[in-house]
Amino acid sequence: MVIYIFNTQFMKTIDVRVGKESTEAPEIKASGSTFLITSGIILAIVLALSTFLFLENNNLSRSIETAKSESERYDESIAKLKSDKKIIAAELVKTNQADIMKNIRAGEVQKYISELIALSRKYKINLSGFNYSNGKISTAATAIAETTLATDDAVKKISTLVRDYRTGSGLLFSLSPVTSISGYEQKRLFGMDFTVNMDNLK
Amino acid sequence: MYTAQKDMKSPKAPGNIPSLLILVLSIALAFFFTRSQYYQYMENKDTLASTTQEMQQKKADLEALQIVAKNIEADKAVSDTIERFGGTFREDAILDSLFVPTTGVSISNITMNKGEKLPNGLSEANISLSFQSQDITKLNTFLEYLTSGKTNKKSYVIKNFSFPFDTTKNEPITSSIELGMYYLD
Repeated sequence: MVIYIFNTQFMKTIDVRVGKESTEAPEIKASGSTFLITSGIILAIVLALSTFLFLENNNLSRSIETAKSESERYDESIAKLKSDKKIIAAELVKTNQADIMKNIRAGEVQKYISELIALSRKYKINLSGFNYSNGKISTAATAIAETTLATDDAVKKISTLVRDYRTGSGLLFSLSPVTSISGYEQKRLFGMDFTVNMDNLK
Repeated sequence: MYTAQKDMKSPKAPGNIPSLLILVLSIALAFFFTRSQYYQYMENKDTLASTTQEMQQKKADLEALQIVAKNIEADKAVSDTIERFGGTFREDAILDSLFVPTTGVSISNITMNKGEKLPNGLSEANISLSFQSQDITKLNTFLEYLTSGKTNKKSYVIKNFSFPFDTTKNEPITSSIELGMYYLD
């Protein structure tokens, strides 16, 4: 913009001087003063703008310094609070409470024992031995036939139990494959390995 | 150009030289000072915005910590929870928590060690108990007390447990159990 004004004014002056120097002296004078005024205005604008930016920069620098010192003050207060062991514990517990509770709930063996007792009553099988480790439970089961009839095989109880686990949903345990059964018609023995379904843990 | 130079030197156009000087000064000022001030201004504005944002974040963090500190002092449930999962490893506190006569379980042996620090910042102690329970109901009550007993100041993670379970009898049970306990080292 400055160059445009400069060019316009300057070329105008040159034209006037080249072509009409002797006859239009007042006009030359007027063009000269217009040029001077324009230059003055440009200088004034530049000075005003520079002054504004200079002062504004000073203000901004002060604000930045203030924000930095405030920030440092907050840092000190945070560091002081965070050195308190109770606060550290509170922060860690708050962050990890969900995982901690999940681990504790996963180890609520009493619920698994109750579930096995219920299972024993439902399918009329005897359970012996209980071992829990890392979300897995193992026990041994004995199924005894209800009658002494030759057609009444205790294995029916086992197949009913296994079927329910294979087709059921929302169960507390997943039953691992029952791959071996021993004994005879009246008494069948087999091992049961379960994995806890954490999603179905109440 | 030649004419312009010639005319500028002419005494008939004396006002042009100061005008040009002023103009050149303005351009020089704009180029060497105003421009750098403008860039400085833009940079300062960005710096102030980021510093202010950082400060606000720290202020919010500090306020959150102050609320936590206040809650620990004022709210017993909060301080109990912290003591339960983030307390210090103290043998007396563990013994007081485990040896409770009302559970119907008689603890014969106990061994404990500080375990190791977990990636989450807390530590997990290992505790082994050998005990005898009057029956399976008492055993379940004791296990309930260990994991989520309201009267228990600690909560333990049952890691391993085995016992001679028998659904045909309800006899006294002798067993051992491995527990984990969270604490802050």
